[in-house]
Amino acid sequence: MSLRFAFMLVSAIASLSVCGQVSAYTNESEVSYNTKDTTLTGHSKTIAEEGDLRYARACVRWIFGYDYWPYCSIVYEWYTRASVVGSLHRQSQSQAVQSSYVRHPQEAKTSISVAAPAGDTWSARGHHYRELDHYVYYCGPAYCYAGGYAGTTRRLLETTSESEVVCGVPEVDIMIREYEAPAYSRTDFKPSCNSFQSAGASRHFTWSQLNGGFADGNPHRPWGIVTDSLRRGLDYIASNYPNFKGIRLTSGYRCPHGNASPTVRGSNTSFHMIGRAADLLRNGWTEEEYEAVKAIAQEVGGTAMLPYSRYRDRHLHMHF
Amino acid sequence: MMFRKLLLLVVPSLGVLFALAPALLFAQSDEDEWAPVLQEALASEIEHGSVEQLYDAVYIAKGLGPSRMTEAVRFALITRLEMLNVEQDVAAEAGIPLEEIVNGESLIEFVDLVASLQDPRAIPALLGSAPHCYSKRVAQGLASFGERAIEPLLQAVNDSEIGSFARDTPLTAISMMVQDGGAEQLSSASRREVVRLARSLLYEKKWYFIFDGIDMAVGLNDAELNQEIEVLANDRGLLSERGIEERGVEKVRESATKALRQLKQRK
Repeated sequence: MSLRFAFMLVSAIASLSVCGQVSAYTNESEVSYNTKDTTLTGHSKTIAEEGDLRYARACVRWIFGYDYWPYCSIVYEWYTRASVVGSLHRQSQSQAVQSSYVRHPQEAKTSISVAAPAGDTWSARGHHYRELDHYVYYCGPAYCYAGGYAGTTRRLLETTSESEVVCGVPEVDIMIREYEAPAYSRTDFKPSCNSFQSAGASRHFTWSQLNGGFADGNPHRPWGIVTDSLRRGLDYIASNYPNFKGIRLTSGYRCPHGNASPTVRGSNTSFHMIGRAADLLRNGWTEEEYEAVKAIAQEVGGTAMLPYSRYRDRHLHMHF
Repeated sequence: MMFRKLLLLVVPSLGVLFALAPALLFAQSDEDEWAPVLQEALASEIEHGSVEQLYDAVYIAKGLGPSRMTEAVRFALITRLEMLNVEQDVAAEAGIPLEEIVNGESLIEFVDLVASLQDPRAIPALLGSAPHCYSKRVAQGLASFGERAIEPLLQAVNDSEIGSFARDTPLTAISMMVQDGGAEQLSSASRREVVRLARSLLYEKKWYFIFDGIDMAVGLNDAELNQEIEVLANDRGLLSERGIEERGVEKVRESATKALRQLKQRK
């Protein structure tokens, strides 16, 4: 019996190696961009995608033979079909270029040519990137029974500097685009030009403190978003906590890109991105002090808080 | 026999779930219809995925909404929250910062989603999350269960080992539960217990716990509690004697005075 279980354990471990994943991407062929006159001159680009997708099989029903060795009475096989859709993105438009799929994943390798029209001018200011959407389907002998969109890989190709006026402020245009990138932001919040402010100190906090403050949190300053409820909440705490001096607002608004940066590593649904979250910290404060500040935040309508034990630096994260 | 052995090495029963997970996780975006198989995979991702996979799965489940979720997804959400609570309890015990276990804001999003299920089976999981994050939505969710949740809520509040932070969610939930006529929906035994709790809160040293007691008293409209509120509003010396800090005394008096006004208006 023990031999049987050992064998099953080995097979379970072995299973980990047969799981299909779209994971490995090979080098891109070189392409050059003339950034001085913001014209794309390379014209073509080939991106080879490689997956480690393989056939896999699963046992649907185990039965046990006369010698107590289990064997599979029903085996289900599937294969993975991967398809890749490539596109070039500019500030204001996308260009889908080609799609392809492979049916035999163990040889999964497909090439996509991404070519911009000759002499195309990349006039929009901002990040230009290539984007590949991956689709994976799990199929049986007769039909595909599950699957769909499996993720997007994105790579920055170039940043150009000529401005395309949407909001009248190029920096704000860039920030609005950041909210459209699911890798950075999955909030329901869709900002408009008017959502952003470049000033707006509260009674106790400067605009610079409210708008950023944390390392790479918002490189687009002075532009940012701070809601009235956050201003009101923070001011109320500063006015009502007797020992407020020395407590710092370490993070207010963060743009989606800044929020996702390695130094911040914020959630892609973070309330910091919609101007409704703040982090307060006094170095070395006690749990009792922390709790008192938190209680005042609740009194003024704070909707969510995290405990003293949450962060290594003991900052108090709050939503308003 | 050799073939069988080879087959066993390649065909693990768990293989299906592992293989399906990455694709099915994202499969919702282009699908109007949520096939049960997709929801099963989503449930599996919620229950067995890494925390990063859990964030994605929660996002998808949130988009799906409680009304369209299958039983498997609902159950997986509740189960995973219970598991995450235990992980965080253990980490907290060991002095490990909880940020190493799960992203704080993602946790808030997760508990809010579980609260939105309005599933009484989620009561223990929601209460178990109280030491790890406070969310008004969770308190509202617990309050909406009414009588069904009152016993575990009272148990949590009266637990002598519970920390100050962890008391917030159950206290806020009870407070919300008895507001706007909610106290009338409770059984007389439960109501008596809440009155007892409110009275004990009025004798706390920390002003914010007294606030909770005052809020409950307004909802309960109990004659004895109302007298206690009157004392709090008028007897400044007594509050100081009870060891409440100076600034807290003023806050408590203000809150008690406001509560009295509300009680009088109700008459």
